[in-house]
Amino acid sequence: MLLTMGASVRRLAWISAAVAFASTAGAGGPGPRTKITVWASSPGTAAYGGLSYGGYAPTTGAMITEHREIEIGGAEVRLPGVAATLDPASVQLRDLTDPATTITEQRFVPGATTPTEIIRRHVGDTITVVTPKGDVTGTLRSIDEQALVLEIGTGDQRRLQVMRREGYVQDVRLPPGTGVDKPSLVWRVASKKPGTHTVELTYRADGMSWAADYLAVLDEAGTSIDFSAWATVRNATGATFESAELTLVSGGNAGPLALSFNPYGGPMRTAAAAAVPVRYAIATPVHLGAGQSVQVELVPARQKAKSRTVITYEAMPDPSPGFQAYPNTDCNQFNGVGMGNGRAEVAVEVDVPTKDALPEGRVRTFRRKGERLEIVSEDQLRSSTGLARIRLVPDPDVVGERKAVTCTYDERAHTVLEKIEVKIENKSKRAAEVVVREFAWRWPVWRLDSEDTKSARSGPQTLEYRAKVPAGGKKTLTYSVVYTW
Amino acid sequence: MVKQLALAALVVGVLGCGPRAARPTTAPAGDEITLYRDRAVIKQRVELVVPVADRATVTVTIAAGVQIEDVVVLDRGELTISELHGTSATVTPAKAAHDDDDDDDDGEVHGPALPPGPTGPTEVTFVVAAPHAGTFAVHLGYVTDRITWAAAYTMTTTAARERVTLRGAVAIHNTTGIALKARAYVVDAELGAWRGRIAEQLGSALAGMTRSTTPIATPRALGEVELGAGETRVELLPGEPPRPMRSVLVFDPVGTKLDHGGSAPIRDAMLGVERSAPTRVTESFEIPRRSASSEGLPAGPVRLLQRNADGGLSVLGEARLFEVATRVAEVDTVAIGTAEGVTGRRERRELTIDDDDRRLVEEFVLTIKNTRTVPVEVVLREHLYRGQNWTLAYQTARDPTKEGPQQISLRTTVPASSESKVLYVVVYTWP
Repeated sequence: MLLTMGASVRRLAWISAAVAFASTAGAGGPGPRTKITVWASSPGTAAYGGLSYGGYAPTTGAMITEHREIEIGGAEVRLPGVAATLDPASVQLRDLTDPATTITEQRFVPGATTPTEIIRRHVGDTITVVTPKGDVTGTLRSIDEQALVLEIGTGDQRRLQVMRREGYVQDVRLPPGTGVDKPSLVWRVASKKPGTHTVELTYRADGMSWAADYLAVLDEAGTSIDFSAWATVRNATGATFESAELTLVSGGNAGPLALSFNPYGGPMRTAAAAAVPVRYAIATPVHLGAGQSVQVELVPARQKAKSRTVITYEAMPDPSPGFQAYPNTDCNQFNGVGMGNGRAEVAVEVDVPTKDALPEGRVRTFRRKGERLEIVSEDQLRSSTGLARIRLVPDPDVVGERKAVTCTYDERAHTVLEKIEVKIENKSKRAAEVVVREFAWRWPVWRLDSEDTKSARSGPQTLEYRAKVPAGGKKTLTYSVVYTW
Repeated sequence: MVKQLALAALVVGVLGCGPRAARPTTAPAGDEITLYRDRAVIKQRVELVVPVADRATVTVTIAAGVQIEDVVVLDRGELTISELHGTSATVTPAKAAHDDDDDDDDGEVHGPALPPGPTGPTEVTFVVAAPHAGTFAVHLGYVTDRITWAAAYTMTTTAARERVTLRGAVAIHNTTGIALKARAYVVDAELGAWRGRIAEQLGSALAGMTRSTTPIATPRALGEVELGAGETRVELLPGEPPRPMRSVLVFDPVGTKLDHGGSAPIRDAMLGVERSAPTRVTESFEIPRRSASSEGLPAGPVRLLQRNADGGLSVLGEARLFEVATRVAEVDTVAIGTAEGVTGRRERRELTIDDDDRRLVEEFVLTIKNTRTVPVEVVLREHLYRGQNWTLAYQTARDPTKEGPQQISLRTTVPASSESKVLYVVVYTWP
């Protein structure tokens, strides 16, 4: 009966050559050891539904590597307490005590969730049933919602007793310490060295994710800032992990599937176009309780750092999420007609000690005013290498327009060459440092052909130009971009 | 007895046998609560006693319903915080009907635990590393919707009706599951709207951007308050001396019901010009505000009471004080009835919309008819309800006064057995 309970039966004849990150899990260091790599929560639906059309799914969940002690000698080895959301096909086992150990069969037994299911896990075990006529001890043979069957007595006295659960069965006492109700991995292994073995277990599980949260506290004048970055890790795997060495991965949403295969027959992208994932190793081991959320610091905090005020200007919202599966070759789209004045916002910037852009996440901004603490804003953080930017409020004094000066679509060469002109005007009475954010939105594979002001990349398809615009002054920026596929 | 951290708990087992367990001390003053219309922001100070220079764990309770990702560490002092765990404590569920001594015959198998009951305070456990043994302070910040409040006022006068004493109180209802002792402020605005204005102020200071002239709600300090479970009342105007009052007539045919808060005006030609507009003029009392003591007072109902010669109180009238619509007014008026022999009429003379120049011009004439045998002074209260961007281009009354974002008052004196007309022109613009 045990074999029928949702187990995924696989015949495995290997000792895993573990995946890259699992291989770093150490070659048998002393004591229990757990390493968990968690991918960031997947981004929301794109404005134009691009991600859902793109045919690829971002990496999610977690890869978990645990060191466990198991006893080899009996018919089966049972390892309880693994994640309930474990992907059975991803399980890999490495015997650190006897590398010659082979696995002949593996099953994943999900955790029991109902009383009947829990008791059913003890079919074949000796249990005690409390009834109005006294305690009955015997071997559990069968159970359903209405009745249970015990085998009692020995030899000639051996018989089956069927007991009605409602009205007759008052209590069921199960054998202690078996753990069969928990999600478990069960193996049949062949080893020439019976006894206690240390094994390295690696598997992928859903239900674990993380998201970045940032905190910015400005001083009263808004010229210095305390900035900290936190990651909130949610553990809904059903398992608890003690002293886990945590690695958090963000970005890299263009997964391997996208690089090699487009199910809708569209053009394939190259590896160069894919966003590179960024890994954050958490300095100290972390307790990840089942059902808990844990916050850990993502990068070292900055105290009283000098902040800079800039005006960000976007002529349009980023259309690129809508064009990840196919390049946009329509030269009439977003070329300046009917696009309005764009959107300018006052923002503060602070340098952060990172080599990469900080992951997406919300930033809560406070300001100290006298003794009071004021909430200023809650918004998505903007970040590029070594820089965090916090938007504060729309700025009606900076306006602009964007238009395509030329746009050439070469159907045979599979290219679009586009020359863009962005004009900005500062109507304020104060000079402004304006950060013009432009998007190479037509397709993820692109290069700059020319530009009259040096740009910086703040995202896979985002360019930023900095321009000082005097009070009442204007500034024009031009650049050319080539898309290929 | 209210304590800031009533449930600071030792946690030894939560993080295994790694970090040592520390404990929070009895919290001194240092908490701060800012009450907004829809939620409250709490800055909570936690003092930790770390026995040795080592990692330590400590658990504190914060308001119920707060998720760990919504807790921010505002100030960690010398401590390094490596982990923050959050769990919602649960109230022990009521015992099941069968879960008692005589349930042996019910036939139920004793299975897994009962589902959790209502959510209790949230427990936040954090692992810290200290540079040395000692006491350290950490400030946490979070937002909760489990502290609500309402303000109410009374004005008491005598039979002479020459002076009035204003009293007010805020009733604060605390269902966070924890007791708080904190420096408190009340802000008469919703948090989202208010923080938008703070961001605008900051943006203007940093970048010189143009900012709205609409007045912003001012935080009102309530002093040190102790908020236990249930309701706590805090006096708003203790020891406020009496202020003068005088009788006036008020013509306010529209009220605030049509106010549109957008920057672009509503273009509906019929807005505010219904034929059956009320002609009622109210008999009212006018009470001047004291700017120093009135600043930041939250809006609420007011009852004007008269103490009679026999010591009893009678209600003369009711109104609302310190509404957003009257945020910059210099006087408050409380209506006590309909004025006999005086009526008003409001007519629109012109409506012009100029899309090229982005202007909407509207002209009104207010006519007050006085059949009394004595002259009367009338306050004409008008609401520029089409939008937030307006200018009073022309008016014929005396003392035009802006009382709020979309409210003005004009004054006129109508001779005995006569009528008086007041004309004004408002120009709305949009970006």
